[in-house]
Amino acid sequence: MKIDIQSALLACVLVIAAAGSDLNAQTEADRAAALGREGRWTEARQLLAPVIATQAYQADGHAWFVMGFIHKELHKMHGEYGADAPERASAVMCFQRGLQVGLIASERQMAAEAMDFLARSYFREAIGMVEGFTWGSTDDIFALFGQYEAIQLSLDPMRSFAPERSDLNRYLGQAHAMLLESGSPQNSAESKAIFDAAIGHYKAALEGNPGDYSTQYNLAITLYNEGVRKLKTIDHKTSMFELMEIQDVCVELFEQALRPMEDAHAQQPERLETLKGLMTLHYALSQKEESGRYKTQIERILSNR
Amino acid sequence: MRALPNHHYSSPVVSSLLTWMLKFGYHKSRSQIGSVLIGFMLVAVGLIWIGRSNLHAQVQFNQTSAMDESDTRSITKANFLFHFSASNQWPSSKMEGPFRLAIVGNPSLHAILADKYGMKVIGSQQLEIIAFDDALALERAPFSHVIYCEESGETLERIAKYIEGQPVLLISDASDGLEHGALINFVAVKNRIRYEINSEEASKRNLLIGNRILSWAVKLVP
Repeated sequence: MKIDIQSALLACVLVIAAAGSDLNAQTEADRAAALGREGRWTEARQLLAPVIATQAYQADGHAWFVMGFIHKELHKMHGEYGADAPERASAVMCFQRGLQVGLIASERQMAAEAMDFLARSYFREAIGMVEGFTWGSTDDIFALFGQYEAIQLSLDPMRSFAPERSDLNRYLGQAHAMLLESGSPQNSAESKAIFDAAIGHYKAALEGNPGDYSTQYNLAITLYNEGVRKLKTIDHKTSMFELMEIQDVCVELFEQALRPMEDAHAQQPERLETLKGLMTLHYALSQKEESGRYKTQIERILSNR
Repeated sequence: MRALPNHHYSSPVVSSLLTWMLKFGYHKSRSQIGSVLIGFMLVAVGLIWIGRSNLHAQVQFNQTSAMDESDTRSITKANFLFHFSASNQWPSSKMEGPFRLAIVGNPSLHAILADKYGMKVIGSQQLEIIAFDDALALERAPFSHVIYCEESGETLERIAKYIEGQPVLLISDASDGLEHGALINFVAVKNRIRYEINSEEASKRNLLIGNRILSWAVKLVP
């Protein structure tokens, strides 16, 4: 068969042009994807959003995949934050819809990666809020962490979040404890609420990870420091009766601190901070002999160094 | 959770500084370039330090909390000593001038007393809180209404002998404190600080122990 070289070349150019000129693509999804590739995400959403929920697109996984990317990029552009950030939530919903309806292998992988990215963005935001912790933000932090868990679970239903949740609780325990140390609580009721929250988070952390040294030690320290804080309120206006009452409260806190400190010590018997913790706790409990025993251990360890 | 977001404080700052420095130095003499280099290096070191400080704050968050270093027993004992000073009665001859509370051998307790009770008055007497390293130093000092002795045994006995017959409230924190001459001795009861009193010896010294103090004592001798 005789081949017309000029005709063949023209055909090739048309094919390449058709493939390359995205804006001439046939579906709204393809055209939106092309706009997205040019960074015109708002226009892409305006194009695809009105039609994505129509019957024609209900089973079009590719369209939901494209819509997911549009929302994801808009989320990044707008710098949204919060568990209910609309673009981020829509992005997750669209990717999940796309995966449900069905995607080609490459899109499936990209959708999973994008969801993982979004999940981590919730996670990072939660950690950021813990690092710059303010009293009363715990619900928002757990809402963000909940979104992270939900997305990751949709990708891997068998995954366990116990260690991460335990870490989050430990961090929250420490954040509350730091708030107490800063002296920022406005009154004793607020101070007590923050203290109770710190203890609650540490205990929740230990439920998920009973053998965590830091949680045990920090729990003990938070209990002990609270006792010391109460002792420090004693002054010339404190009556004998009040002094006895304060002592009762403090001793109870010191006794509570002893168990987690001993648990931490059992894990790392040569660690100086726990030995010092036990020495100090027994001293505060007027148990001079036990306190002296730990002091001797500390001196022995230091002399061997 | 375990892997917190990475921080890159030093590298981009340093590299951009160096780039700018090279551009700037291109038009300058060698000595000027040297000065500029040193200046920028100092700025860079400062920025790296700031960056590391921030990073350090992040790392600290992962570590263990700090224990309050306050001397808990001394806080409680200080308040007891204040009550012992304020709630008992001394002979009228000793109710003029300053009211002296001497602490032998417990600098932490002295510091707390001085901080919280230093400017207070006992009746109409200004409270003076004095620290002594040992019993010998105490013997060279003027009369003290209350003496707290941290040490037991010979030191306590020596002080007791020195103040024999005087209206001085000697307080100890030893298992055999009353036997060695103290009128009030701190004891541990159910992990709490309580005290016992030798009221007979107190009355021999013309010291009237207040009812409030007597009522909270765990043991009265005889």
